[in-house]
Amino acid sequence: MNAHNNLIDSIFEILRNIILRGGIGPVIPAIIFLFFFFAMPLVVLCAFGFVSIDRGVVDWTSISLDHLTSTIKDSLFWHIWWRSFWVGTVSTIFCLCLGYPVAYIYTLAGRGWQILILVATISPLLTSALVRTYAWMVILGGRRGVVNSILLDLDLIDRPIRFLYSDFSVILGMTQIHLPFMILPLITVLSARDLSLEQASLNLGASRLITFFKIIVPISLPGVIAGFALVFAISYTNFIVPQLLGGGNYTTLAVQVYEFIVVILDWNKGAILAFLLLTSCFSFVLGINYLGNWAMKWKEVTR
Amino acid sequence: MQLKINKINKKFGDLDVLVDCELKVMDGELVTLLGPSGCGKTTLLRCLAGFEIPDSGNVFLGNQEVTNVPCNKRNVGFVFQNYALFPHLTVAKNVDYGLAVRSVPSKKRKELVDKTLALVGLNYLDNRYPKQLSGGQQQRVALARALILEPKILLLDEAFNALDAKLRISMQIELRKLVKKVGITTICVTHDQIEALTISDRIAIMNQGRIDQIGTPSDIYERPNTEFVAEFLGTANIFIRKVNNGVVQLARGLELSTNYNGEVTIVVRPEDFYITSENCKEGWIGTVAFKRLLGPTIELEIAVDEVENLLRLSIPRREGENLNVGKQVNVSLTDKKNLVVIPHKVEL
Repeated sequence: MNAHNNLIDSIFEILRNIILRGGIGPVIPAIIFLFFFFAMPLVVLCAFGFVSIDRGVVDWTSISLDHLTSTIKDSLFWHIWWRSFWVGTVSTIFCLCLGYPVAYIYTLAGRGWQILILVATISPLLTSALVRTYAWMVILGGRRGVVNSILLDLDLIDRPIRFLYSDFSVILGMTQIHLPFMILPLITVLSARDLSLEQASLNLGASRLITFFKIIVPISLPGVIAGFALVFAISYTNFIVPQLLGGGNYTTLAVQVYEFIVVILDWNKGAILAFLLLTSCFSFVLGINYLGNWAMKWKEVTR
Repeated sequence: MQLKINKINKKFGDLDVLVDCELKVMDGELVTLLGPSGCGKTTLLRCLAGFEIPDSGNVFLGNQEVTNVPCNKRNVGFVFQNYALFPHLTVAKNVDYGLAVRSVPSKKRKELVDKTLALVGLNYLDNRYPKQLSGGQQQRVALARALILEPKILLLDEAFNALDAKLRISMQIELRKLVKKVGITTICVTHDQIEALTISDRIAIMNQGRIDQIGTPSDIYERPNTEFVAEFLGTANIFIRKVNNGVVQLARGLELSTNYNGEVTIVVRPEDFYITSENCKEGWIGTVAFKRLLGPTIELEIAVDEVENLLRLSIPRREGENLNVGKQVNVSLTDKKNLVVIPHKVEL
């Protein structure tokens, strides 16, 4: 009984030290959690790409780079990779072009409009991305889709336009679904900006347009970089939108990972693709951040 | 360039921020708008820059009316309280900004930037970013950025606030010299009376949206128009007295004649008192309640029975060396002519 109490006391003592001492202590629970439920599975998944798996039995002794080299040599892989990259980049650029004006108008608007913009931005996140993707299928779908039926009724077209199952529909869907992740960091940065800079620019004779491009845009670069990296990462790795809005023949790297692991059950191939998808995604995000830091070297300087 | 402000009014909602403000500034003159926070001085300055448009009244620059000219078409220099330097541009690019948006040829721009940076003594810092500069250097960049466009007038909004006390004084002197060298008409806004006295040709004292008094620093100090002005600029001992048949009694044996009727406010500056230990026929008898040394002078507060407030005195250091707290002293006036008598207004 006594030993039991001592044990409990010492556990509390350790916890108390972790919480009260500050420093790295308070992060430890999160690190432990992430280690077991994020880092470990990721390592295991990636490891699957470098060993041979026979009917669900992993042979840990057969470490080789065979799966990796055969995948990289495959021109189909590069074809699919290019599509992932291209779709991700284009939809991210669209998100930026559409999101920036919204965030900018937010900072000029009165309190009521601001709340409205914020609600309109965030509320789509309350429904699942899957549901929103299906909604796009209803809107864009064949003869009886919303858009086509309206155009047909107005006699603007003779035959339904093939919106669905194309680059267009994938990029449209992705842009809409990922827009909030672009708008929110932009709002954060733009609404914290110093308004006297704009007045200074006007005072020095610049027009509002020049002020916007020479002052406001450069000042908001941290938000642009954050939004760009975030939206690129989730667009590049999104597999629901390409699968549903791109159709059966439309495939990206992320879709391939899903198919190989869940449908075809070729874990080796799936794991290698996942490994390549993740490492390339990381490199792109790091690259974007590097470019961002280079463009914002004025922010880092010290006396 | 000459500046004329004609009966400017401005409201924010129901609040009267500016009420019938009138001001005329000569070419090359340096005028300070001085007042407590919330008196409307910054709003008046922003009306001159075009950041605010007055509800009524006119602003003239030279012979031209600019009341409704947008702020980017006025060519009026403005130095912001926080300097508002563009953080992503180097010092040279900041100074160059106004020329660049006017598409001045790049060779001429380079020359002008070098010349203007030399004028404020910063040409060795042209490649730095604003974050790398000290407060004083940032202020000089802001000045250079405004002056390079040869603006019609220069406006400074609390431009010395961000500097520490010692640097502030030297920058104020430097600013005055610079502005006089360039010969530009300048309006400064401040709540700091020392700053106003240091830099101004004339001071306009503002109170609750109105300009109470305009004059040279010594004018305003020696002949304040209102009780507010007297108390705001420098220290003032205020006595409110009733006039009897054109005569008002300030203290025992001290009588003044005046043309005013009813109640008057008599302002006595701290340096117009003197102290004597001998018995005196006129003046006050009191005890020293507080004493502090301010370098060349000593500030004393004297408690007098029949006067509600403590008398505040300023005397040369050597004369006050043995006047310790608790000591009984006689206080009198050096010269009755120095007193200011103004009609007493009950503030609503």
